[in-house]
Amino acid sequence: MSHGDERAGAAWDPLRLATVAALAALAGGLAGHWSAAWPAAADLLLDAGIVVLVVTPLAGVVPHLVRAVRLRDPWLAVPAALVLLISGAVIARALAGGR
Amino acid sequence: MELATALGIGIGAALAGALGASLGIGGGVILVPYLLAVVGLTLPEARGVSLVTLLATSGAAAASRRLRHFSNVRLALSLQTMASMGAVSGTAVATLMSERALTLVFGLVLLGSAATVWSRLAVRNVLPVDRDPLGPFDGEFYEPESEGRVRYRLRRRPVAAGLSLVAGQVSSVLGIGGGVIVVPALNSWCGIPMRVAAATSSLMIGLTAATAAPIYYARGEIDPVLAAIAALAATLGTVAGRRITIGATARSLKAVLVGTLATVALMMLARGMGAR
Repeated sequence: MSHGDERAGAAWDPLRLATVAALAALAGGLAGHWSAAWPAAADLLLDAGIVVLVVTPLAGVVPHLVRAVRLRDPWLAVPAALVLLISGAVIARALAGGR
Repeated sequence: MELATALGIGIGAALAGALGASLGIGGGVILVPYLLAVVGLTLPEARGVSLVTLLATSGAAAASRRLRHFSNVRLALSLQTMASMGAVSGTAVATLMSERALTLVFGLVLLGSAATVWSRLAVRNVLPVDRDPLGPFDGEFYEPESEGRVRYRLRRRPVAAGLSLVAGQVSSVLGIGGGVIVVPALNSWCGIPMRVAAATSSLMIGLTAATAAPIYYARGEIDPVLAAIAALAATLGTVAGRRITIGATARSLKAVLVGTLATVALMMLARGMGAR
């Protein structure tokens, strides 16, 4: 399989957009925090930036899973599903107070 | 917050970003001690900054079309499954071995990895493009150094899987990224070119950090302001690391990897022997 097959064709795919949006939110939040001009909005921007940054890597697996299922590619579908399953279970368990 | 603290975090995160993008080793193993000793953060603060740095580095690398060109998603997700299982079983390993013993063993393993990569500095894992079909974890990409498309084939798959499991356990028990194990293993023993190993490891590091970060964030252990400084600086570092990855020769990338592995190994051995 060529690596070219795994690249999204568009220059501004969702993963890139999410990363840029997260960084822009963090930069805006930082500016607001330091200037003290808009403290409430700054906190909101900082939180939103971090949440998007955290969610993006796992969300980035979903398109690979969908594509793998569509193409019936078990070498990609099985590990993608397992990664999402294990990560989801670990996060859910920890957030539920299991750790 | 003082300007010196912000500057200290920014410099550390940028360096970790550059290391993450060029060598695929994340940089948390160096960043956390630096933030504790030089910047004066507490352990929870340093851990939070390190996690967000890894996320930003991995995210920026994944969003870069030029770096994504090198990553092997099938291999990353396959090895990440093993690493996740390793992280979950890490607590069992911790009961069998003390943290001190594990740190010493890990330091010695890293020294061995550095020596192995050093002994293979001139060995290239790239093959000419031929008509033979590629296996599920093999790949083909344009390599600037070869000025053309090249191929590689994954060898010793059980070794890659087994070491990813160990990398997950080490991450879980010692709180460091598994890239320092995965990158040398893929490059030295499994036939994966240096740039592909680094980009693939970077993808794995992001997934590991994305699993750990919500837990620390929910506990309030990630300071949003520190995290924002780290994320922005790490992204700048990733841009520099991207230039290094594309412009440098595989030999020089490996030489930097050897230096970094040796540094981390000595830090681990000193920690294991009780030095502060």
